[in-house]
Amino acid sequence: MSAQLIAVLIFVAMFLMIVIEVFERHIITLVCGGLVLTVVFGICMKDMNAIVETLNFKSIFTGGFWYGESSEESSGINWSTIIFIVGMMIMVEGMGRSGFFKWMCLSIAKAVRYKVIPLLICFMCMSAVLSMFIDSITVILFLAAVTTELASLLKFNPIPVIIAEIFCSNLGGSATMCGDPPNIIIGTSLHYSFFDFLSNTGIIAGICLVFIILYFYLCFRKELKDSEAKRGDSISVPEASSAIKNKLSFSMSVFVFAVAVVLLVTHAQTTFSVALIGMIAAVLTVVTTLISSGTDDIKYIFKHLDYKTVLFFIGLFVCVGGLEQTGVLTIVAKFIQDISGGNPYLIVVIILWFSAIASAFVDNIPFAATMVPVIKSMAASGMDMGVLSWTLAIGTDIGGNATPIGASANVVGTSVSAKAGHPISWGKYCKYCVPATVIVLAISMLCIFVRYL
Amino acid sequence: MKDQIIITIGREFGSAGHHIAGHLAQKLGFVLYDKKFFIECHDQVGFSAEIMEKYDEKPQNKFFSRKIRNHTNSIEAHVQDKVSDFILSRAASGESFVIVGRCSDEILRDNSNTINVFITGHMEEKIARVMDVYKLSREKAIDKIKRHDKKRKQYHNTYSEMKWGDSRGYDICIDSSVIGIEPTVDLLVDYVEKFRQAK
Repeated sequence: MSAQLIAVLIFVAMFLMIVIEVFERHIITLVCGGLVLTVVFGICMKDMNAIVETLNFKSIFTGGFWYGESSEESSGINWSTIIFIVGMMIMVEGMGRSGFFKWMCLSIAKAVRYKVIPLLICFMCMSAVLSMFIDSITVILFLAAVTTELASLLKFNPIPVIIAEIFCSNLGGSATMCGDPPNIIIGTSLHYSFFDFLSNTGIIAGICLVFIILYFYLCFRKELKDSEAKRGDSISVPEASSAIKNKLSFSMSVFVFAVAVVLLVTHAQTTFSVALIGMIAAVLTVVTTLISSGTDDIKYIFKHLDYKTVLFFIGLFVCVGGLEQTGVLTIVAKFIQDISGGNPYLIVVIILWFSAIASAFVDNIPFAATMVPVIKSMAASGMDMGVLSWTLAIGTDIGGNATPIGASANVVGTSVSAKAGHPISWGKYCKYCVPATVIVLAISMLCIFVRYL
Repeated sequence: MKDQIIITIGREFGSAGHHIAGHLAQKLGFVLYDKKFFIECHDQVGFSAEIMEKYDEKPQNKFFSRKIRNHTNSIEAHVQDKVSDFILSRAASGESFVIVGRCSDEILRDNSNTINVFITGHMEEKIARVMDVYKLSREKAIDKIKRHDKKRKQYHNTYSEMKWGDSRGYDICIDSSVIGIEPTVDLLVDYVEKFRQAK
C-alpha cells in the first residue's frame, strides 16, 4: 500500500513539475525515475526483480528485440522506442542539413505558382504526409520557417497557414506507428506493425484530413484571397535548388529517407523491429554523411541531437514502471471498466475524450505511456486490444491539437511564427483549433463505432 | 565606445523610478528607452504596437506556456528575446542611454560601461503617488502597487540570475523618498560623473 501511494505521489509530482517547468523535463523524469527505483522498489517493496524488470536491459539482448516475431511481454523502459527515436533523430538531422525540407517546400510553392490558397492546401497535405514518417517537431520547424519566409515575399499573413500546418502535422502523425511518440510507445509495447496502424488509425486520419482541409479552407479563404489580391505582380522567390548546398549530400539523404520509409512500410513482412530500422537509418546517415560531407557534418549531427528528449523518455518509462509494478495501473483499468459497466461504447468514449482532454493540456507522451499498461490490463479482462489501442492513439494524438501547448509541434510552430514577428496567442490558436479538434474526435469516434463495435 | 555610459533603472511601482530615469536622461543628454519608446518604435523590435503594449515586460504564465528545445509558445518570452536583442544592439553601437526595467541589468551584466540602479520608496509615499497619478482610493492604490511589484519580480526573476531588488545585483540602490526625487536625480548625475572619471 505504501509503495503504491509513494509511486502515485512521485508520478503526480513529476507531472506537475513537467507542467510548470521548474526544471528541464528530462531532469524531472530522471530524478523521479531514480526515486521510483530506490524508494518504491528498493525501500518499500525490497524487490530487486522489479528494478531489473523496469530497467529492462535484458530485452535489448534478445533476438526478437531486433529481428523476427516478438511476443515477449515487457514492462519498464521501452528500449525499442528509445533506439528508434535516436535513429530517426540522426536521420532527420542529416536530412535537414542537406536542405531536403526547404527544397521540398520551395518546389511545391513553385508548382502551385505561389498562389496562396493552393499553397495552404498543399502545405497541409505535405505536413500530414511528412509527419507520417518524420517527427512532427522537425516537419513543423522547416515548414513553418519556409511559410514565414514565403509570407514575407508573397505578402500574406503566415499565421493561418502555420496553424493549419500544425494541426495537419499532428493528424498525419496519428496515421502511422512512427508518426507520433504515443504511437511508437503503443506500437512497440503492444507489438503492432506499421501496417496495423496505417490500416486502422491511418484510415481514420485520412478521412479526417479531408474534412480538416475543407474546414481550414472555409476559415481562412477570405483572409488569404484578400492578401493575394492586394499583392502586386512582381514577386521574387528563391529557387528550390538554392536550398541544396551539396548535391551529393542531398541525394544521399533522400536515399536514406526512402530506405527508412520502405523498411517501415514492410517491417511486418521483413520482421525487422523498429529498433533495427532506427539503427539502420542512423548507420546509413552516418556513412552517407561521411562520404558526402566529411566528419564536420557528423560532428554537427551528433552535437544537435536532442539527447534531453531521450533522457526524458528513459526517466518517464521508469516512473510509469513504478505505477505498473505496484499495481496502480490495474486499479485505474478496473475503475474505468467499473464506471463504464463494461459497455464497449462507453469505454471508447471515456478513453477517447479523456485522453484528448488530458493531452490538450499535459504532454501526451507521459499520458500515453501511462495508459498503455491500463489498456493492456483492460484487454486481459475481455475487451478488444485493437479497439482500445486505436482509440488511445487517436485520443492522445488529436487531443494535443486543441491548445498551443498540447503537442510539441504546436509549441515549435507558434515559436517559429513568433520569432518571425507573427506571434500566435492562445485565443487566436484555440479559436480555430478547438472546433477542428472536436470535429476530428467526433468523426474518429463515429469511425471506431461503425468499424469495430 | 570608451565614452559610452549605459544606465539601467530597476524600480518599485510608485517609487518614481520612471520619472527619475526620464530626468536623468534629460540632464545627461542620453536617449531614454522605456515603455513609450518600445510601443512607438515597435518596428525596431519587430512586433506590432499592440503586441508590445500587451506583452512587453510581462511575466510568462507557467501553466499556459511550454518549452521544447529552444522554442516556446510564450509571446512574453519572444518579446523579451527581441527586446534583449535590441538592447544589446544599442549597447554595441556605442550609444549612451538610460533604460527602464526589461531585465536590462541582467542583459548588460558583462558590459563594463553599465551602471545598474534600483529605485525604491517609502510605502506611504508610493501610495500617495499612485493615488494621485491614477486617481485611486488608498486600498486600490495599495493593491495596484502590490500587484505590479509582484509581476515585476516574477518577470525579472524568470530571466535573471540575480533577484529583483537584491542589492548585490545593482551598483546603486536608492530610496527616492529619503532625499526626494530631484536630489536623487542629481545624486545619480554625480555618480555618473564619478563613474566616468573612474573608467
